Amino acid sequence: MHKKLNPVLDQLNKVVLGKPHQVKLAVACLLAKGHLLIEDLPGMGKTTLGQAIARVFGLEFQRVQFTSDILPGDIVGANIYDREKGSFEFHPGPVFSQLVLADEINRATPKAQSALLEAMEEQQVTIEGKTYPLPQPFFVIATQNPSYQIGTYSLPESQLDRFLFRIQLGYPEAGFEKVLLRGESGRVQMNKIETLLELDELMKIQKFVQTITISDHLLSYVMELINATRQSPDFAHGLSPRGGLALIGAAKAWAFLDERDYVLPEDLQMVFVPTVAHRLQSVKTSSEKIEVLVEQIIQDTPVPA
Amino acid sequence: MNTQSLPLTRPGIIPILIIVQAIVLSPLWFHLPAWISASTIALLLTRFAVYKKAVHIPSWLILILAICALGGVFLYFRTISGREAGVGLISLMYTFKLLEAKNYRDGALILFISFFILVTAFLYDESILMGVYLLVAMMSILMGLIALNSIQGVAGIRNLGKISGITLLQALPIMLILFFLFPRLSGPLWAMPSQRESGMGIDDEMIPGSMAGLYGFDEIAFRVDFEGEAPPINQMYWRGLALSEFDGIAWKIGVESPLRRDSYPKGSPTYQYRVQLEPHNRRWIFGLEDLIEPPKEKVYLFNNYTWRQSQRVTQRLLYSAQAYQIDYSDIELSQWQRQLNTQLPEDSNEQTREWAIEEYQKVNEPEEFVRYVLSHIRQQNYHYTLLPEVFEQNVIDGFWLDSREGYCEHYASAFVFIMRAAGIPARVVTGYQGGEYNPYGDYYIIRQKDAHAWTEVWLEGEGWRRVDPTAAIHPSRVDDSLLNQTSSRDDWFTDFDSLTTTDSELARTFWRQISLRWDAMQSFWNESLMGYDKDMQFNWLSKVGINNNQWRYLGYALLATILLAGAGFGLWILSQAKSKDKIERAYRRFQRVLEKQGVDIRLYEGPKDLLHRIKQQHPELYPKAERVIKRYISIRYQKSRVSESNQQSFIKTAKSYH
Repeated sequence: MHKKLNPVLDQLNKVVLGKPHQVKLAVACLLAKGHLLIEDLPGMGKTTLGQAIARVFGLEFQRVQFTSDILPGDIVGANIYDREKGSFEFHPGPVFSQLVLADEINRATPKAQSALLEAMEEQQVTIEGKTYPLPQPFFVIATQNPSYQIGTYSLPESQLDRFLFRIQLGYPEAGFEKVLLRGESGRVQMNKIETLLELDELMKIQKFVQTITISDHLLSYVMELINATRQSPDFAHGLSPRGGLALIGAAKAWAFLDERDYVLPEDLQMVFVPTVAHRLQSVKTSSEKIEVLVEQIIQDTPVPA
Repeated sequence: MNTQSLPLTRPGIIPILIIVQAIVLSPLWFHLPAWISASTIALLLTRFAVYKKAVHIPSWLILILAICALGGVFLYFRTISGREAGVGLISLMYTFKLLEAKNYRDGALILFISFFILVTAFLYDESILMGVYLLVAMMSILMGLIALNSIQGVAGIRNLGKISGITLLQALPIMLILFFLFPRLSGPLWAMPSQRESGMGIDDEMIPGSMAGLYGFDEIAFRVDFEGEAPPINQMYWRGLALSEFDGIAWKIGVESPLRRDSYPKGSPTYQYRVQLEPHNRRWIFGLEDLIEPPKEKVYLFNNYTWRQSQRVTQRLLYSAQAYQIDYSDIELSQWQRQLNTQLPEDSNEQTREWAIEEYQKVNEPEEFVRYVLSHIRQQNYHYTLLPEVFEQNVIDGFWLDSREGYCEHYASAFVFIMRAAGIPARVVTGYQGGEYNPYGDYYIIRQKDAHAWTEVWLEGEGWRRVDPTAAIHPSRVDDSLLNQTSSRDDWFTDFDSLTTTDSELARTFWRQISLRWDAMQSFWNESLMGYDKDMQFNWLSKVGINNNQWRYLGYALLATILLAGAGFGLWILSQAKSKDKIERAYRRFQRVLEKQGVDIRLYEGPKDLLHRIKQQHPELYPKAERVIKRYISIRYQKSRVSESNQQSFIKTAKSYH
């Protein structure tokens, strides 16, 4: 089962150049049934990554561009009066698809944001008392501009932790940038992407990931890491139990991608920063990035022998 | 995670150790010789510089310096034991230890020694403020211990403070049980003679003018708590010494000897009281006259009815005593006592001697003569002043006939001289008079400025009678001693009192109340906490029905139980740790072998990354290391249940790794 994912990763790396780690994280996020938040400047290839994932897994794809005047109805859908039938009829919004790319989510007002985030949490949408389940699998990739940009409503912490990972893509390396500029990738490659994994195979893998072994010994390491975030003076508060569960789920997916059916401390370390950084707040006003502080926790916490 | 492998380089560990040492040593800096205090401060600063990587000190240099310090202590004190030398030596070695501290064990050792050194501060100062300071210092040591044992090192002072505060509170019940129930030793634990103790108080000889030095001092001489009724303040004469020998200038004790118990005078008991005597580094102890029954063991009654302890009072002394009225009906003044108390040096103060003989012939009756001289003082122009004229020779002539101004010592001295000149046995008595009532603690404070000298005159058929010639001049001085003291001495001590005199009367009263309340607290601290000794423990226990002998065995049982429980608990912890950590120990051993083989061991690194690094950096070690690490991963992470045989096979592989 592991083997099937290698070509998937290869394909994706052809489209998103020079970012194998981020690509792997994105796939791990999908396997762990989590949602992904990509935080970066415009034009870094966020949308490309989303589209590529949709294609390679054969997922039904919808892109919603969030703007400051978008309304909840524009996302989840609305009941619209049908004159011929003489009744209201539900018109599902773009959220009713297997992969939703929510572009620039922090440009929208909190009201519109929470419409999406509620759908993510509950895997269903309720409109005027009627509940509509969302398709399965349901995977949201949201992108956001760094919060210091003009015209953004930063997501509240309570909603940030709906996302399993928050990752940054960053500038491409010089060599890849040249290829990019030459125009040999991107849209061209995108069209070449084939669907490599059937839907039921993906769901099987998602199920299997959850059964990956976590030993007691590893759990004690997880607890040490969680405690370290709670005792560290660098953070306003520590990691919540939900954060701890997310950490374990993510580590399982990473172990799977590493072709193992048990989790090692190294898996935890790889997913620790993307899983934890957006769930914590730095108390320091200095511009030191929270990712650096979270990385420091790993350095400071010995692995139990 | 094994604490032993926690490095001292974790953030904040070295600074907190330096701070703890500074806190622990700072009370000692005021008492140790200057060179020792300076050395410890210098060593702490050096340690900080080493920490900041400003200097590097090789370990052989530390060794040489430590040996020099040991030699210095020996040369300075000529010994390395005893309070002064011992505390000095341990303080120096304590700071040297931090300079060479490298691992967890050193840090733990420093912190545990800190508890011991902290207590030595109590050898010098037992006040409340010191008690509070030591409590705070103890918290800082606990904070150091918690930081030393936590992975992050010093992560938030507030957090450390909270944990150590909780720990102290948890220890409180045990502390109370041990404080009240633990068998007390009959003497102090450190029965070390102090070498350079200074004390303030009344001396064993009186030269008129010597006591004036005490009048400026508000220092407390002793506190007295009456059980039941107290005498009026102007009748409180605290007897210290009786001075019988006069050489023309100074009054001395002269010949005196302790009385055998069967020759104690008889008397009727009057007042019952408890005394907290501050250390004055002399042998006499004070009591409300008349004195008969010595209040403590090793205190003796002398034949001039004063109390003397066999050792100097170098620690606060607590005793309960009984005042008596001696019944002189059976007591004869012995021949040599009469001689001693009428003796006067030849060729001195001739004029006063003549005056005395002349005046005595007018009345020719001892009691009448006493009354006559007192009324002479009252009616003639005798002044009470603390700045009298100073005479080089014939001091009494100069005072009595010429300047007519002086204070208690002059009057007592002149009065006894006149009595003796007239052939009446008389002597000078020194001690304290009066006291200040503290309504907040219901006791009296007697200060150094209450030092006083008065006289005793032997009257046939009546015995020794106390006569206070100073009272004759200035009745108000004795009647309202407090008011009089401040008013008559204010102008002399303007510097001392400038703070209070410039303030309004209200502020002064307020200040007075605060200081009385503070003194009441100190008195409680001294009496009930510091002074909680064997006797008080027995008293307390006998009230709940446990007598002395039973208690001794109960005490031993308590001690044995605590020791056994402690040992049992320790063994249990040890066995738990052993059985649980077999795999950990084997893996740690494997890591240590790798370290010796040149592999850098990082505590945060998982086994897979370690193996990967070995493959990259030390390919020659890879095959063997892989076998160990693969098995390790398989028992630690691969399955949720591991059979005993798998564990054993890993342990075997790991231990055989070389």
